[in-house]
Amino acid sequence: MNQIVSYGILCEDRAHKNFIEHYLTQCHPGVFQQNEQFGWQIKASTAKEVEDALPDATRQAFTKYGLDILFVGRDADSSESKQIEALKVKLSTLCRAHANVILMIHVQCIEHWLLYLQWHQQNPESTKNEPLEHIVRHEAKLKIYGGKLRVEKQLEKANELLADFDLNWLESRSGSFKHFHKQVVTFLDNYSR
Amino acid sequence: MLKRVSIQNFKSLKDVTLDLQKVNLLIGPNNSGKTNFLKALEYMDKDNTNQSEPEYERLIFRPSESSLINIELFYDHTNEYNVQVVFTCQIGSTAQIERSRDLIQNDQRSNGTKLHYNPEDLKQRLRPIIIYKPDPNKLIQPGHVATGEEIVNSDASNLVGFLDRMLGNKYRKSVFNKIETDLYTCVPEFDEISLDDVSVTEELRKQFGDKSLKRIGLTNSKLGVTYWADELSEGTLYFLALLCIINQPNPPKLLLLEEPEKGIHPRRIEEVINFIFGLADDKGIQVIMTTHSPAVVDMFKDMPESVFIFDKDEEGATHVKNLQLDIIEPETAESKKAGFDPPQYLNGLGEAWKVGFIGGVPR
Repeated sequence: MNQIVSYGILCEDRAHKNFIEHYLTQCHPGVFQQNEQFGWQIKASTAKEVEDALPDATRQAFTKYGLDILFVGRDADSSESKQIEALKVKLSTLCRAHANVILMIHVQCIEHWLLYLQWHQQNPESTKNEPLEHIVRHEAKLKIYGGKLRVEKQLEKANELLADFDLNWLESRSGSFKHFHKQVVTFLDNYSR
Repeated sequence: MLKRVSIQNFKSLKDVTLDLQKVNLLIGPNNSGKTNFLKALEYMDKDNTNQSEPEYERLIFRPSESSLINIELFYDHTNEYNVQVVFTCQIGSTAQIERSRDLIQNDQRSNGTKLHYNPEDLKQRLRPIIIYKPDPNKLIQPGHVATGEEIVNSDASNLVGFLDRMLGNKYRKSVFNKIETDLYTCVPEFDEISLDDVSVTEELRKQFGDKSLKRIGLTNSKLGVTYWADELSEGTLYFLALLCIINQPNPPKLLLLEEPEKGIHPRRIEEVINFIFGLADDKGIQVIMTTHSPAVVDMFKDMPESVFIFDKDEEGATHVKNLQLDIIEPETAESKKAGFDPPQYLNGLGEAWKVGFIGGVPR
């Protein structure tokens, strides 16, 4: 592919944005470039804001800012598959007019993806398929951030786990990550045609 | 009513024009030019015609690029239909302040034939023009009496002295009683305003000196209970300050308010803004206010033409967009053309602003 893909992010917190940026840089190097204007202008900070803003964010993303793709990050805040499916349907409906939207919906919250990476880092040789999504949110955050409250400190902890993370391993453990990654791969397949 | 304000090269306002409504809301990040806009209005009220402006270099936007500061206020003519009166203040490179009055009829400006300028014409429309920023924290403080104050301060910190003056024979009926009546209408649990002596402690003596001090209280006469300022909510104190501002002996016709939500509990914000709307409806006071609160912005969802969004560009010049004319209408047309749903900002205007859809957000 010789054309750079211009992207934007609409998500509920900086942990989401940080993950997407790491993922795109590491897993698709030299392919994506963040639209700077969209990046500072459009910023949600809660799950409700992400949902409320989705129709206008998608419209502005592709008309005003000329993005190729918009990433939308939202924690499912649940481990119940029915609720997660309902959320996917809801978000898809809110941005139905636009094809190039990738939904990043985590079972419970994004820290559970990091939790898998942490487990893998601590048990590099293990082939055991240890499910971690039952761990409650605040416990997951405590394990990842070690009680740090300041966002910058939390991101430092996250970045330690995200440095050269094993994409294939995470895809094999987390269904929600697999769903996210698959959307990106499909988009790139279609985009390069 | 002030219909239009056009400003060139005043502080960050390189070239802005606002078509005003009865109530107007200015939003934007800190240092985007909202206060400069209010200061330009304040400047128009100064008695400095034909004088030299000592602060010229500080007032002009980028002195190397421009030399003429121009502020114009457009009013409807009091008697003549379809005629506008324009008051202009210009300061050129000699720093000489020139003011003039002009007419516009059927969209034609009386080109070059500036009418005789009488400063009283504009003063009657503006005065007193003060940028009000009542601070509930200052209202709970005791204050000096017998100061003879007939004008409420910008931060309303002189309310004790002002109310004490209004209690005198000259203003008791026309002002003080009116404030009490209005207060009862807004906050029915109180029907009397009381001033009580404060015993001067060492700490107060350090702060205020030896003069006698009083504190403000609001009384429910049926129950015979008085709540003193430090026991009252910020919202109630804010109402009291606003009532004093609008009922003062020489009340503003154009009320400039900075951040009326400051220090107010989120639930009380709606009441304060609703009260301000009432000033425009019932008393014919035109209001221009700034805010940083999405809750205040939400209250303008049915009047997007009253919302002005301030942003600065990279050279530091302020740009102002009208929510209805410059954002919603063009985006709606563009969406229709592209076959998308139109903008839905008005369903949650405060949130749409905070997320960044309408501009006016910090980087």
